[in-house]
Amino acid sequence: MLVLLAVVLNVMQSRAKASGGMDIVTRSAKGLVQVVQTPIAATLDWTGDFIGGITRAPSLKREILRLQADAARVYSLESLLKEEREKNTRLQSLLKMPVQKDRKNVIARVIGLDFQNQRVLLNVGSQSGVAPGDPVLVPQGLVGQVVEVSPRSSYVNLLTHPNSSVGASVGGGSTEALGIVRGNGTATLLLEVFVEEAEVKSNDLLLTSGVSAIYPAALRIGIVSSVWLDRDFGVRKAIVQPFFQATALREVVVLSK
Amino acid sequence: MMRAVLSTLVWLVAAGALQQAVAHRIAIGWGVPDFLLVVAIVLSLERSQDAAAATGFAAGLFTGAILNQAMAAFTISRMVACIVGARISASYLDKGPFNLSIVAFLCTLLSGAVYLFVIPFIDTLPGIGAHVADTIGAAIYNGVIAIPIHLLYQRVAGTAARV
Repeated sequence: MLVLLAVVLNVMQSRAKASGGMDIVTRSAKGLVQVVQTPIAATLDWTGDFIGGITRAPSLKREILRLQADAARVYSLESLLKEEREKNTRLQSLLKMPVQKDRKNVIARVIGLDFQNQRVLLNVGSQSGVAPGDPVLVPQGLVGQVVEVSPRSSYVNLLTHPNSSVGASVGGGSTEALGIVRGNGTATLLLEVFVEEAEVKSNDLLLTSGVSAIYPAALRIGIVSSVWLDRDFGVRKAIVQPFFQATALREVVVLSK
Repeated sequence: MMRAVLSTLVWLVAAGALQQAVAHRIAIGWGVPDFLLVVAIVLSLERSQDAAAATGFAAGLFTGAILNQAMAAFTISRMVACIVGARISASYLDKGPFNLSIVAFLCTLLSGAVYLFVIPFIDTLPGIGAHVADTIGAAIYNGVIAIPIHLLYQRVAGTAARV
């Protein structure tokens, strides 16, 4: 009779398996065993881990130190990679900058910053064709002017340097006004327009006027942020936000002749 | 009667759980203990042939359920092993540890052999070499663990009887 029952159970199991399921007897027996099996397996796992942890403590400690060193290496590589990616993006945008007539774009790296004197040091010099007076730019706009040159390096006075000044035009078209933008040793520039009636307003874009021989025309200088009239001198003045931040300068282009 | 059935069920469920949770952790080469079979054999030694057959049947049912295959082959083979175990125990042996070990060893071999005869009728025949090796490994292991399981059973049964 038990043999007959075994055959019946077998048929039930085979049919259920064929339809991708499990018959009631198999499911119940398996479920019953699993109720006991789960805590036993969990206890054994925990005990095994605990004993393994104790017996392998010295090697685990070494492993942790090794993994920590690996993690530190990975983090540093990751930040290096990020930095290189950013540098690559910056260099690509510099390479895309249009070349001025009679000028050559020399890509340079900023290797020093004299924040107090609003000067930066570049890694290119006379050997690369850089000469005093050459304008220095980033893709967003004008940065300053080369003032000292050695064979392999050069100093640049930023636009924000107190001695910097550049002829600027604002407005364009029929309302175009000419003025001078000066550095004042801070992060902003000062625009002076000597025509009281000149239309200068906030958010106006300032471009180089091209009047001087140093700066080619139509280079972006900055954005007007506030305007007022100095009645004592009959001059319209404005604060201008340049397109660069001294501390963020990494690569620049020198427009050498 | 009811008490015996419940007790058998508890023993077999515990054996099934050990089979699933422990057996693979303590395997030595081909030697993987078959807790369900060895518990069924130990239980059968103290019982009549009918009760042994039922115990073997239940052990086979649990094995077939856990593996979800060859239910008939497992139930029949274990039933035969338990009946033979009960008969040997009743007729020829005292229940010393060594004899117990031999009975567990022989009954495991017998179970493996019967399985091999039954399985072609219901399922695909397994690799005979591997099956024989597994059976011998399990028989040796079962022979060893039958002694502590029997001692545990006696202690539990003794406690239960006193209660």
